[in-house]
Order: sequence, then structure tokens, then C-alpha cells
Amino acid sequence: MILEMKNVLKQYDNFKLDCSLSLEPGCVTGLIGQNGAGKSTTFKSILDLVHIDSGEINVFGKPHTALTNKDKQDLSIVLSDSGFSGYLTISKIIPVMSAMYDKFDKNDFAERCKRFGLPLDKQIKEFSTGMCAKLKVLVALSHDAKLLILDEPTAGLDVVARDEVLNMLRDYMEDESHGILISSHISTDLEGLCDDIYFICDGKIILHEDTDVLLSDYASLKVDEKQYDKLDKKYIISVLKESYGYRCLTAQKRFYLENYPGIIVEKGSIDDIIMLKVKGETL
Amino acid sequence: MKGLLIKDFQLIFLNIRMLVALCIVSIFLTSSSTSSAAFVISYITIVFFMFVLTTISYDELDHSISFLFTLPVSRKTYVLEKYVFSLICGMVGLIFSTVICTVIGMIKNINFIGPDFIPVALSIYLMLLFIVAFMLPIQLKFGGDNGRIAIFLVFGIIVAAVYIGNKVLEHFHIYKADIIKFVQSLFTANTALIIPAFIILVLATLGISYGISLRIMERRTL
Repeated sequence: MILEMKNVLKQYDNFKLDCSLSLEPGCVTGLIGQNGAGKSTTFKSILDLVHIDSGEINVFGKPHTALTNKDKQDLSIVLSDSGFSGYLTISKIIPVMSAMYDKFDKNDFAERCKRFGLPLDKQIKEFSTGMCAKLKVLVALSHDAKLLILDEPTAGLDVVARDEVLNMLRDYMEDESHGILISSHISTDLEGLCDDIYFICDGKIILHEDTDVLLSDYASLKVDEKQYDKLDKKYIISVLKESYGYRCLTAQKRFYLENYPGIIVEKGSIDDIIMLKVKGETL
Repeated sequence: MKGLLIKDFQLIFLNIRMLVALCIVSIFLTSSSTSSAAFVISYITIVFFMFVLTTISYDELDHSISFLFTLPVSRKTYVLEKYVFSLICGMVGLIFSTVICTVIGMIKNINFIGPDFIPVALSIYLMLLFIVAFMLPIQLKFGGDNGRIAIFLVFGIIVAAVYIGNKVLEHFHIYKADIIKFVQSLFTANTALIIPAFIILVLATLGISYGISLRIMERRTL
């Protein structure tokens, strides 16, 4: 286990984080939720940027508060709202990174930056959103870290830039000892990248499932009032009232396909699952 | 810590134009007396110390400080680096200002660097370190702009406290002039002890200041 959070609690005036999750080597784990659901607080707790009230966080088998600067060399973090000072340039970042990480390869990093169209001598504050996002990921990938923690690495990117960033992450995962914990509100990014996904809502993990299972076994059932009354509800997770009747979330798509041929069964998507889990009524 | 020091030097090099302006202003500030050289040295050294506070402002800008702690940097390393950076910056400022004064002296054909230069320069350095020891915890607690307001407030309170203290002492017929005379008599009686005593006082203040700063950073949510 490269990362484990057990019953982590953090109480704010209007918000409470109550989270448990784990990440195995060789896995990409997604954390998905609405804005303000607790994704960034979860990440900041792992890094001890936010002090937790109770619970346990272990990184590489060590309590997160006991991580030394040497241990942190195996960690790479992309935060959605911060990075190197915008007044620095990539050329100025290189000696900083070189002094901080034993495995930082400055020539390779500079080469990659050039390949991704990032100017070395321009101040970062002059970069576009896409360039900033690419730089953050390139910095994170520059020193052969074992664990990547990425908070919204694709936010604000156009389709092409997003694809480039996701491909970088796929290349990184070719090493089986690596692991990624990633958050995004763009569900398709996670569907194509993650092995398993945690859903977080109001600071609580409301669902954890393998991505393959989510996409193969979960479904959204669209039924009218009559069909809803006759529906066997033992495999219904949550229900949302719609203008045409009800939309129901199930993790047993095959059961409803085989037994209720008249109803509309839509393949589960992460967006549907979030919508139904957050807005729907749990049965 | 080396990485943080490099970063901070990179950030202060952004103010290179200010350094050039300082050199030009220094030429006009120096007259034929050595006291004007002391003024230039303290002026330039203060600016170098101010660079330390500027780097904290840069760190605070756009939440950059949160990112810094995702790097192999602990809160302790960060705080220690700011103190080490202050010592280095002050020393660089002192050397830089001495070079400037020497060059200006050569141009104006005046010898600024007399026998009393080293004690004067050392006193300025120690005095400024003493001030830095007060300012760093405030800046780390309140951040960039708020920190500056807090520093003004603290110094305002100190001035007010001194004024009120003076009034209270006058009430008891203890006058400022007598206190100054007493302190001066202490110093003249123990000339050899002044600098070592001052060094110990500054080091002790820096040590306490470091402890407070560390506590502030360890409690801080980033």
C-alpha cells in the first residue's frame, strides 16, 4: 500500500471531511466529486498542509507527519491552485529542482518542456492555463517519484492539451511500482485512466468501485410511474424523480435487462452515477 | 534548504533594477564625511534585509507556499532557510555597500573606510538582524501585505509604549537623559564587552524569534 487514509476527520465551521481510502502500487485511483466536496482538503490532509483532527494517514507505510524530506522525494504533487511563483521562469526552476531532488534530470526536463512547447525563459505568469497545467505535470514527472497526487491536473485544458497530459500519465504508469491518486471533475478523464474511483460528497466517501465494474455493471434505469411501481427495487441504489417518472441507479444492470425488457437501461457513466448518488434518494 | 535558497536568490534578482537605482542614489547620499558612508551602508543593508520579506510575499502570492511544502521541504526547513537567507542577505548587503562606498570614495577621492569602519559596519549588521528577528515571525504569521501592516502596527505600539513609559518614568522623576547617561557610562566603562554582549543579545533574540516562527508555521494551515 503506498497510500492509506483511515477514518480521517477534519472539522471546519461549515464542512466536515470524513474520509478513508487506499492506493496500491501499479494503480491509478480517482477521487471524484462536486466543487467543494472535499477533494482538495483530502489531498492537503495527505500532505499535512491541513492538520487533521483524527484518523490515520500512511504514505509508503509511514505516518504522513513522519515523512522526511528524503521520503518526499518519492512524492509528486500537483495542486490545482498553486505552483512555483509566477515570477520565475523554467530556466530558474531547473536549478531549484536540481538542488531538491537526487533523481531530477535537468537535461531531460528541459527537453520535455521544449517538446511540449513551453518556453524556458518566459515568466510562468505569462503562460496560458494549458501551459501552466503541462508545466505542473512535467515538474511532477521529472524526478521519478513513486506516488503522484494530482488535484485537477486537467482543469481548464482544451481537448488536445488534456490528451497530452493524460498520455504523460499513462506513460508514467508503465512502471508497476508507481501509483497515482487523481481528482478531476471531468469524468471521462477518470474513466479512461483510473483502475478504481472514490466518489466524495460533502466530505464523505459515498461510493468506491473498480472503474470496469462501474462501466459494466452500473446503469441508469428510466421508468415511468407504472414501471416504477412494478420494479423490483432490491438492486436499486438511489432514485431521482424526473418529469417522465423516475431515474434509478443500479449496480445490477443485467438483472434489469433480463427481467424488465420494456424499460430504458442506459449504460452507467460516472456523471450519471454522481448525479443519482448526490441528488437522488437512497433506497 | 539549498533549493529554497536558490529560489529566493532567483526571486531577489528580479529586483536587479532596484539595486542599480540604489547604487545611483548612494552616489548622491555620500558627502565627504565617514558618517555619510555609515548611512549608505545601513541604507543598502536595510534594502537587502527587506528583500527577505519580499521573498515571503512572493511565496504567499497565488498560494505558492502550499506548493513549496509539497516539495522536499519541511516547515522547519522553510523557517530555518528564511533566517539563514536573512544572515546571508545582510552580509551580502554589507559587502555590496562597502564596495559601493569604496568605489565612490575613490571617485570622490575620500577615504570612507577608516579604522572605525568595522565596528560601525558590524553594529549596523547586528542592529538590522535584531529588527529582522522581530519582523520575520510577524511576516510569517500574517503573510505579505497583512504582514507589512502588522509590522507598522507593532512598531507603532513600541513607539507608543516608549512614549508612555517615558511619561510614567518622568512622573517618578526618572528622566530619559539620566537613563541615556547611565547606559553610556556602562558602555564607556566596558568598551571591550559592548560588541560581544550585543552579539550574544542578537543571537539570543534570533533564537527566540526562530522558535516563535517555527511554532507559527507548524500551526499554520496552508
